[in-house]
Amino acid sequence: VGISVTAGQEAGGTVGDAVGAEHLADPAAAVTALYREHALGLTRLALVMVGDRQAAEDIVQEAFAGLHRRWSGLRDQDRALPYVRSAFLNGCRSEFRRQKAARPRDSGYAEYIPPAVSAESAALIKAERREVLQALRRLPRRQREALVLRFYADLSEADMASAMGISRGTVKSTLARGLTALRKLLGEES
Amino acid sequence: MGEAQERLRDAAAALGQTVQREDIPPLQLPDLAAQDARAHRPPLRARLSARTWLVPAAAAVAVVAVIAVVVFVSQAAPGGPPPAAGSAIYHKALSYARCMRANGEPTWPDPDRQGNYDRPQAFWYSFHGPPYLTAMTACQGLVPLRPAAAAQARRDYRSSRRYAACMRSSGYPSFPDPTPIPDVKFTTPQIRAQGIHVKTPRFGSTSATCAFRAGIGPRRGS
Repeated sequence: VGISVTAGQEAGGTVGDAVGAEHLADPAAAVTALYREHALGLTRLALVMVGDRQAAEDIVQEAFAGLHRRWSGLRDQDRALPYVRSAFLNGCRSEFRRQKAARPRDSGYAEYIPPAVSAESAALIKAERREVLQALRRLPRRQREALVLRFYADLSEADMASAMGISRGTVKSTLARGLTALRKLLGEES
Repeated sequence: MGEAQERLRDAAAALGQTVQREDIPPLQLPDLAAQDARAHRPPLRARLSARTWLVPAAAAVAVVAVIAVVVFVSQAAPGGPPPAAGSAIYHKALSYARCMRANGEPTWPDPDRQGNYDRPQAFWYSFHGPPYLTAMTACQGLVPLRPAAAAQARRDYRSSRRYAACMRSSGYPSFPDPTPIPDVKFTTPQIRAQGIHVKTPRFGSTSATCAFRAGIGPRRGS
């Protein structure tokens, strides 16, 4: 989106904002322009993924800060988007690992209330929705990622495959397994 | 069947909606120039201008760039209150979305009620392929830009066309026009597809001259 600089450094590509010349010389402006465009959507996506508002904001900030650090090393600025996507997903994964580690051993999944549904957004989310989100967070990492990318971000299977670094076949089977597991958790077994 | 996924869509959307644009903190970036200095390297700008012909060439291709599609998202940011739901900009954005879907981008999302394309999936569009270009060309008149941005986009588009015309009359007869509003850019693959080698001194100097003539030369000291 927006950034499509295909020109890269050889012939001068640029990124996103209205006027591009200074972007070449100013990675901060380029990255900030990208951030302005994508931060809201990505923060929402991260929130759904990890369930914690503060963590979601941090994941997005960190992904763009990483892009900024690597900016001058990107041979082709087309690589900017793929970089941010994978940094973003990696951020979500570490956050999820962190939450898992912080979870008391014997309380088990059932008692664990993920931050998303205990924090400020709880008031805004109906109980029925809360149940779905809790079920989502009880799924294995890859299934949860697949379900969120498919049914919240509306990605195609091909885009999911490249974002998650797995084959399309694996995307399909992960989605199917994820849906089955979700149904089971929601008591919708057929 | 399907109930679980509908419930998931609904719950995820509701959770996502708890974050609004005004909640997003500004991006905090460390000072790269300072880091460069610490590493005893000249700052990025100096390194770039050392490759002398590249800079004008780059600027020519780059300046022209890019009222990015999703930039109309950020048009809401500077100045002025956000438009109300059901406002003209929303309806314009909605017609744009419909037009894009009807012209080869079947998964193009609807805007939110402010007329913004904030849904995360917009992020995953790569916007390079021919279907995108076709759709964009077809829908050019419907781009939901706010007036100031629209005027700027038209200016950029005009100067980009002047630049392309100059390139064509300066030894690159197959030089392409820029992509339509709101994109307005030239890309290396697009230029290479015309059999033009961009990594040559002749291209660089021609490009710099044309950029200057078209009024899109590099901005110095900005």
